[in-house]
Amino acid sequence: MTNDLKLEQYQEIIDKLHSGFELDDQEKNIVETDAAFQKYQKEFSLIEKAISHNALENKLSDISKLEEKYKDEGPKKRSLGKRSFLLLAAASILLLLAFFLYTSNLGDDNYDGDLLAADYVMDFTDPDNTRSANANNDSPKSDDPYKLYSDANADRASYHKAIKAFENLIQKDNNPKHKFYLGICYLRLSKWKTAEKIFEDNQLKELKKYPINYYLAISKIGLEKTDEAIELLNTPKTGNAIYNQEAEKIIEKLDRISKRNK
Amino acid sequence: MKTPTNWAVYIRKNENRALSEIYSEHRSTFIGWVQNKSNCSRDEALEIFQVSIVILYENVMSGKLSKLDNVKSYLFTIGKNKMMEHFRKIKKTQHQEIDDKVLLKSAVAEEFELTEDKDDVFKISDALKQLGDPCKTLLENFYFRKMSLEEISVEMQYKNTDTVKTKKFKCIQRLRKMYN
Repeated sequence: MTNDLKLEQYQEIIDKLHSGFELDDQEKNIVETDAAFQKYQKEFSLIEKAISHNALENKLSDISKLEEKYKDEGPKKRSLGKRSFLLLAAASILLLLAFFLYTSNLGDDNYDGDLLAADYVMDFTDPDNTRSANANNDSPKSDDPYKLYSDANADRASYHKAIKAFENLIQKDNNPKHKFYLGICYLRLSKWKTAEKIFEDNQLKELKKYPINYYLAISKIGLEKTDEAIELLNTPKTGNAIYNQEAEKIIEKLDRISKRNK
Repeated sequence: MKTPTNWAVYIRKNENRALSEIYSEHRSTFIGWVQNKSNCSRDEALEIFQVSIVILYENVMSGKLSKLDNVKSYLFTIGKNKMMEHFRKIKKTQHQEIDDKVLLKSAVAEEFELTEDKDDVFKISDALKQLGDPCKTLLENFYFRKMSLEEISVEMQYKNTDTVKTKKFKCIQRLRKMYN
């Protein structure tokens, strides 16, 4: 293995440790026995400290600049003056407007699961890089489901081809990761029922780092099973901040719709 | 302004805005409180305030603090500790001139527990400054802000996570060559 490739491997292991991902047996062996890796890891810990140190120094500088902005502000005055009265008046008008807007929407209790679910079908970030790991550069494009999936982002029709290719692959290799991607293809085509069935497959529970509950919740939203969707989105979160953020947004939205419809 | 229910999340999502809000909201009260407690100058009180904000920020970004509903209480607790440390140092260094920013810098260093590796870390830190952007920001985003590859690819407008990963590795190797 060339030196660069070796360093890349070491960096991959360090980044996995940093992100809390599990190492495979070979990687664990390297961590425990490879002196060159241990030396690199020690060096890298200094790099991490330096990165954090720089970041804090920059933040210190930003905070010092805030003083220029706020230095002339005295303690906040508590008495109501003309300015406060005008602010209060403006706030009251805004509240009234908001009330009218809210009540004008009360009659609209048509909850379009299709539209809502379609908004939240995000592209999936694979922690195992299954896409690149499985992409077979020698195989024709028409056979490789992962290539078809990657190409399908702009072209919905390609999802149909990707689905067929995944189903063929699953027949030869019953790997839950292939099923997971198959589920996302169905979500992309708004086939909520089929996606729901896939994401409810017990075999997918083997994929610890995958946001199964998130995507299952999306399929439930498409089927207008709001309560089930909210329950899924409230289950213990994955390590990926983007899914957690999106889940929170969806829960808020569903809560609002649910209250409106009661 | 709607008060966030969890300031730690808010700071992570929008650090500049969050810190600016915290700064403006608590500045006067904090400085007044420190001056009352310790009879120190306004400048010293201001320095303690700024150090406290940096430490709050660092605790959030390092993951030490994942939930924070009362930022005032937390900030004042940090401030109380910093105030006591500051005046212990003043007593020790009474006859020396204290540079404006040295207390701030040493506070930052302490939070890092930079002891035996201090010189190496500063050397790498200088190299990192020379490295510049986008490498510096990319490395900070991943190792300091703990953003995921996906988040970084969106924020820094890279094609995909594989591109981010490759770029990150190259940045690290460039950095290593610079300080070695």
